[in-house]
Amino acid sequence: MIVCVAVVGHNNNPLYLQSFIDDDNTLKFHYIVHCSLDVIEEKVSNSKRAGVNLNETFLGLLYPTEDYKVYGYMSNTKIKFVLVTTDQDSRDADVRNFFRRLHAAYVDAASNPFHVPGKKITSAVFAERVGNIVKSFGAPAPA
Amino acid sequence: MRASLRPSDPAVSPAIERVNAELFTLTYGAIVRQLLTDYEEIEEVNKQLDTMGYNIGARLIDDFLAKANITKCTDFRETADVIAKVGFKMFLNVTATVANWSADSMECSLILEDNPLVDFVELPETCQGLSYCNILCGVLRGALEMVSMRTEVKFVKDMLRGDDVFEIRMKLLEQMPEEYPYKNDE
Amino acid sequence: MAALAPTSRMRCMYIFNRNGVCLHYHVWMRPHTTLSQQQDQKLMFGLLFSLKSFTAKMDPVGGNKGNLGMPSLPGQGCSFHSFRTNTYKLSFMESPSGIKLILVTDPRMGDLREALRFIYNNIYVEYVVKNPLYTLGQPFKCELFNSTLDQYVKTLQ
Repeated sequence: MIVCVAVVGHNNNPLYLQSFIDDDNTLKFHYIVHCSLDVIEEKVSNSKRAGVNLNETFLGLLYPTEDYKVYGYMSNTKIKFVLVTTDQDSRDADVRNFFRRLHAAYVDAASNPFHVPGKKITSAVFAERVGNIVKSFGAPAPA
Repeated sequence: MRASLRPSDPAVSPAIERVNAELFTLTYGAIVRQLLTDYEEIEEVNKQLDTMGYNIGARLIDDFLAKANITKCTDFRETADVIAKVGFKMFLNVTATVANWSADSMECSLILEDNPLVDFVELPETCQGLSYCNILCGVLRGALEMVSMRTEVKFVKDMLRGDDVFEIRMKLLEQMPEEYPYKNDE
Repeated sequence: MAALAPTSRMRCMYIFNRNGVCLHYHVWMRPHTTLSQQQDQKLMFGLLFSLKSFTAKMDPVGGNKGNLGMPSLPGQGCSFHSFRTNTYKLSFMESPSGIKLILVTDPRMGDLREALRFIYNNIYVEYVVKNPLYTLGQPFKCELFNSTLDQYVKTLQ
C-alpha cells in the first residue's frame, strides 16, 4: 500500500508531498524523502563515474527502511519523484507505470500558466490525479 | 453568409496551416501572465485582452473571408452560424453551437464545450475576476465590426470559474452600412 | 512602375477600404492621366460607390430595393463586377469586410473575377493583413506584395 508520494524540484526543494495514511506525522515522511535525495544523488553520480551514460529515469528501489520501501524516479530536468510504500512485493512494471503516470500529471500541472516553477504545486486537479493514480496502483492490468 | 463548406479549392484559397496546440495554449498562458504582471488590476487585464482580441479580429476577418470563400455577410443569424461552424473550426479546431436566440434575433449565445486556450489552466484564488479567454470576445467584436456589425460580446459562463461550458453572449447593436466618405463634393 | 512585357494587358490596380482610403495604387502602364493622384482615387471610389448603388436599384430580379444613394451593406443587392469601354476594361471585387479591388486592363481581357479573388485571398491577405507592422486602414507599401502581384499578373495574359 502506498503511504506517501513526493515531488522534489531540481534544487532539492520540495514541491509536493502527500501522505495516504491517517497519520498526522507527515514529518516522518519529509525525513524519509529527504534521505532518499542523497541516495538519488549517489546513484546518478555513480552511473556517471562508471562511464555508463544512464538515460534511465526510473531509479528503482532506493533503500528499504524497517517499515517501508522507497522508490525513486528522476526526469531529465532533474525533477525527482519519490514513492514510499509498505508493499513488500511490488512489481517492477507497476512501479515504473506509476512513475510514468505521475510524471505526466506533473507535466500538466507545470503547464498551468499560473504555476510558478520552483514553488509548491497547489493545483487541486493534480492532487486528485495523484490520488487516482495511487488508488489504481497495483491493480491487475486490464485483460 | 454563403460559405463554401467543401474543402477550399487550393488554387484560389490559401491552404490552412496548422500549429501545435500546446504551443498555442502555452503562448496564450504566457501572454495572460505577462498582462497580469504589467497591469496588476484584473479588470484592466480583461480590458487589454479584449483590445488585443479586437485588433486580431479586424485582421482575422479578411483571412477568414478568404479561406472560407465568403461573398456575402448581411444576416446576423447566418453570420452566427458560420462563426460557430466554420470560424471556430478553422482557427481553434473546435465547433461551437449557437443557442438562446432572443426574440428579435439580435442576441444569441455561442456555446463551447471544448476550448484549447484553457488546457492545463487553473485560476488561482487571487484571479477570480479574470475573464481568461476574454481575447475571444475581442476577436469576435473586431471581426464583426469589419463586416458592418457593431456588437457587444462577453462571456456569461466560464468553465474556469466552475460552469459546465463556455458561453459567449453576442448582441448586435446596429448594422452600419457604408456611407459615402468624402464630405466635400469636389 | 513595375516592369512588364510590352504585350502585357495590365494597366493599373486600386485597393480601397470601406472608408474610401486608397490602401494601394499599383500602375503598370498608364501613359495618360489627367487628374492628380488624390483626385483620381477619389473619383474612382466615388464612381464605384454610385455604380454599386445604381446596379442594385436597377436590378430587374433582385430583392432589396433601397433608395438610390442610400448606403448599403457590402454584398447586399446584386454585385456588379466589370465594365468595358473601347480602350479599357475595369474589373471590380468587394469583400464583405469592405475591401474593394479594382483592376484596369486591356479591353480584350476575359473575366477577371477568379483573378481578383486570388489576389485578395493569396496576396493581399497573406502579405498585407498578416503583416504585424501594417496599420489597418492606412495605405501600405510592401515589397513582397508588389513582387508577388507582378509575378501573378504575368500569368494572366
